[in-house]
Amino acid sequence: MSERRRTPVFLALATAGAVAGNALAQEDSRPLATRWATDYTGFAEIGVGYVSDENFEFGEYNGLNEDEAFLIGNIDWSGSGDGSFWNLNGSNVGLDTREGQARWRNQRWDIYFEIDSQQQVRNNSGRTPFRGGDTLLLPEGWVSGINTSDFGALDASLRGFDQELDRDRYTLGVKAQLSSAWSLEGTLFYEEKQGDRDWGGAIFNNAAAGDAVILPRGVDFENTEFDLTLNYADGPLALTGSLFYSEFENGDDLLQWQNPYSNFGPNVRYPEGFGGLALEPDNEFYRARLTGTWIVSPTLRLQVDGSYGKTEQDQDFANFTVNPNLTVPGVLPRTSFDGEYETKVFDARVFWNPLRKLRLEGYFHGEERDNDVPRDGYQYVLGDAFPIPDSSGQLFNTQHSYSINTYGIEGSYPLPLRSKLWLTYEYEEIERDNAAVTESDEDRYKLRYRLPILSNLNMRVEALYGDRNADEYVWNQSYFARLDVERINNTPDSQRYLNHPLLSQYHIATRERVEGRMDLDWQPGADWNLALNLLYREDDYDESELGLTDEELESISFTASWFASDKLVLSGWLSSNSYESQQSGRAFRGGADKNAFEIFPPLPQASDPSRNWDVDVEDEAIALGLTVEWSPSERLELGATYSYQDTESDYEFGNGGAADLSDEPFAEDYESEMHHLILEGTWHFRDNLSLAVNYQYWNFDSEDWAISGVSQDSIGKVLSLGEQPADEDLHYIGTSIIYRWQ
Amino acid sequence: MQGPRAALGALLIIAITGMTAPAALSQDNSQDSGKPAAEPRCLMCHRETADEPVHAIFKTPHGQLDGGGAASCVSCHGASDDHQRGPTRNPPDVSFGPKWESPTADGNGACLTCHQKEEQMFWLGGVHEQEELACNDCHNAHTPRDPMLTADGQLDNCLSCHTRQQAQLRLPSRHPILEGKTACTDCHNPHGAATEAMLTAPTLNDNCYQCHQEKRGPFLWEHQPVNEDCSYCHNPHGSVQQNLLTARGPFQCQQCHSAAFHPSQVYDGRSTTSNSSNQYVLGKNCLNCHSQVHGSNHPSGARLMR
Repeated sequence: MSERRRTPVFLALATAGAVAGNALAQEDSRPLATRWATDYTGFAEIGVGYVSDENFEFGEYNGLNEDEAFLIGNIDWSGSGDGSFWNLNGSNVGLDTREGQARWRNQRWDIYFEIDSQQQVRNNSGRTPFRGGDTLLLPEGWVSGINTSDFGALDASLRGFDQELDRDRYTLGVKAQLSSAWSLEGTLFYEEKQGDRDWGGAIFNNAAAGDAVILPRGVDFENTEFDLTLNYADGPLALTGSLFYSEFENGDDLLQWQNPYSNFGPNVRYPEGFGGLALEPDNEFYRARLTGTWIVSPTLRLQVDGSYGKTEQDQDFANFTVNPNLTVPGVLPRTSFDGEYETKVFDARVFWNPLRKLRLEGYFHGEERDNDVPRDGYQYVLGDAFPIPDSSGQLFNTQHSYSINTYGIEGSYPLPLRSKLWLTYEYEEIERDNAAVTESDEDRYKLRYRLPILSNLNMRVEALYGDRNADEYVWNQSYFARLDVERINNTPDSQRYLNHPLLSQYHIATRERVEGRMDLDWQPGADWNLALNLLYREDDYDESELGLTDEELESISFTASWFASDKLVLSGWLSSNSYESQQSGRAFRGGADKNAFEIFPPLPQASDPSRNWDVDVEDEAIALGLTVEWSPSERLELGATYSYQDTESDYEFGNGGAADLSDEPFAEDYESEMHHLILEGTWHFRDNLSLAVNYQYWNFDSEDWAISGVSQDSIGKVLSLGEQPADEDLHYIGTSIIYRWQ
Repeated sequence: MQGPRAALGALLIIAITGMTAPAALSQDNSQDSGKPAAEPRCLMCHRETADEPVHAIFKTPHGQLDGGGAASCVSCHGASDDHQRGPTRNPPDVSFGPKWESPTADGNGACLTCHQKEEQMFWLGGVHEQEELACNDCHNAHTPRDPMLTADGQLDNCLSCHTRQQAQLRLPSRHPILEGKTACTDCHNPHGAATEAMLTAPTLNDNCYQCHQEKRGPFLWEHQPVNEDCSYCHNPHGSVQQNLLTARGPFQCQQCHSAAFHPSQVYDGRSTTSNSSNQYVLGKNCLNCHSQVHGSNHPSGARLMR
């Protein structure tokens, strides 16, 4: 039973006792579950639940984030007759996560309407001095300053800020079975997503003088979608063609905030100065897709999946800056972007059995993103504060297109001892426009072997080796693609780059991948089921000097189930996951120190290997779950589930010995610990009436060096929300009555 | 908004097409079923009073196959003449257990007779077919509502084999999968697909854009890896780090960015206390300023700060 359905249930024992006399009134000898499945058409559950404390981890998605009592309400009602079926259901009606569906269908028609409300609550312990919607203002009496510690009226200005996003989704679907071979279906979907979340913004004239704030940003999204699908299936051929359309609209175009700092000139500093962010533009997406399978003969079949998609947006641009008194040289090259990209994807698979036991599969995956956007130079206004006064301040947008072609062949053959072997070879080539690496290819080899070691013990092992080769890494590509020629000409050759020449971006870098898996399933007796799953993966970016150089993933999972009797089931799982990465950097300033090619001392910083640093990061997560399900009698179901989780991120620094670099670790790790206990019981004191109770204990504790003890004015140049890590200890109890009818 | 109007129009077309299509469905089914000439006697033994809820199937479309009643039994279990002659000695032609269990291919074949189309058309050759999963390993036809057709039912079933996800779904940063708000099938097609990881959409990013449409762009200033593959930075099944990130900022950003001045510096333990550099580490780290990491549409947004 999932956590959402564990709709809590409890009833006072006194009440239960009073009605116990009716409990065994039924004469029917069939099991209760059979009577419900066969004789009853619906149920309604009503009750009350209570959460003891406000929270944002326990209630992140389930609507149980407030310390309050709420209505438990669920209903499900089905019927049939004359070859048609209908169903009405609703759940969580007393919460902001309610959902419901009405559906009617027969041999020809299937019509349904769905409502689904979703909620995400994030860390709600932060506070902000800002007020307003898409234009955020500071309160009267605000005292500005150079740093956050100078904001004299900060404490008096703070207000609570709940980070909460609500989605409401409505879906209307119709399917018509036109004949035994043809069907047509359509879906209309509308969604609203609204709420608040945190968003960073900065006013600056260079990176060292950024005046940043974490803003309470409103979210006001709408999305409308339509899907029309025609299906055909007759004998060996099945085809599905679909058209899909999606229109996204953002109710807010621009987020503006009053500058709380007193840096810069009067046009930029408090109170006249503002900062402005362009929010996500409206967009439209169209897609046509055709999928099909054709069984040519008993030994040969084909599968294809091809699609063409187009995404467009043409939102009007904001001005270069929201501060009208700043003089910006030049004008916008266009009033709106008029951008679009096409996505073409084609997958094909051929399955062939040339021999009775030999199975071969050939496959192809082709994917292309064709980005057709106008390229122009845009005058760069540094952080709504400082317009670069000439054309050297122009930056050029670039088009990012890519294509991926993957070819693969797989063969499988049964071997002695009822084992089976799979061998796979795959070749992939990727081409990119406007990237440091324009071409790369990868060979992948995979072996899979399945062996029933014993009649009750199965093993599966898998090994993969991948070798990705990237063409020449053009480290100055982005520099020449984005900057104005005047600025390029005014820069010494040795400084003409954005990222350090020794850095390789891992997603396009040469890589060697090794992966191994092993799965064991063992049923030592009819009552036992044990499984062990192991995974190891290592990615070695062996030609990268700076950037991500190595990744390692280890995962161990063990599960066990014991069906002690038809009344008692115990199960548990234990999982350990570890992700380690190693990365390096070289600390360097600009100007003469940005010269990355000097070989004689004194070395500028960018040329000096002693200024290298590296960090090993290890994320570990250990989790376990234990469940007991016990039915001492047919009319009483009891259950207990305990979940535990412990996560930790550990950082170890190393450096080349430069005086201003350090290997000092963080004073605190980033870690979390969770205990979750669920006790539930349901007493079916009559066939059509049940009492249920659900109790949960939740404890979540976390430490996070990025926010622990960090108040709104702790960071000199970032006015933050001052939110603190989760420290939750709460109880949940719910009791309800379930009524069933025939 | 042209789209919704066109959509409503199209739904109307479906309705009209459906109403005017030839009414030959029941005949079509009976022609293909191959049922025996004699009326099957299944329900003489498998009565409503049986302990097992066999008759619950009549509350579902499966119980209406070939006209319903006992005819629907043989449409899946086969004519089963031997079983009718010796019901305790001979199994039905196709049986799904627990007493008798036909070979997986036979059991699945009964289902594929009708279901080898639409979302199930890629079953043959798919990962689960190769692992020799039986349809009834996940599905139960003899119940008014197959649990696998609900998000909660899917979760229980899928996690019984995909044990690594069992733990990932409980990590501090995750999608609402445990709550049933995101179903496994929202992203994956367990019946097979030609796409990577049996994704429902043609590409990984298209899959993510199904819920995160605002990130589709195209943006004036794009962040190139973002357009290619969301999983470069995010773990969709859950992460120790917030926002499903594969690594924490500023280190994640520094895996690809080492420009002069602050992007190249080491942010060690001193940077949490030093006012000169804590702005790059504390709070939202790089996103204190570079909040538009998925792309910016602002004319001055080249550095993804606007």
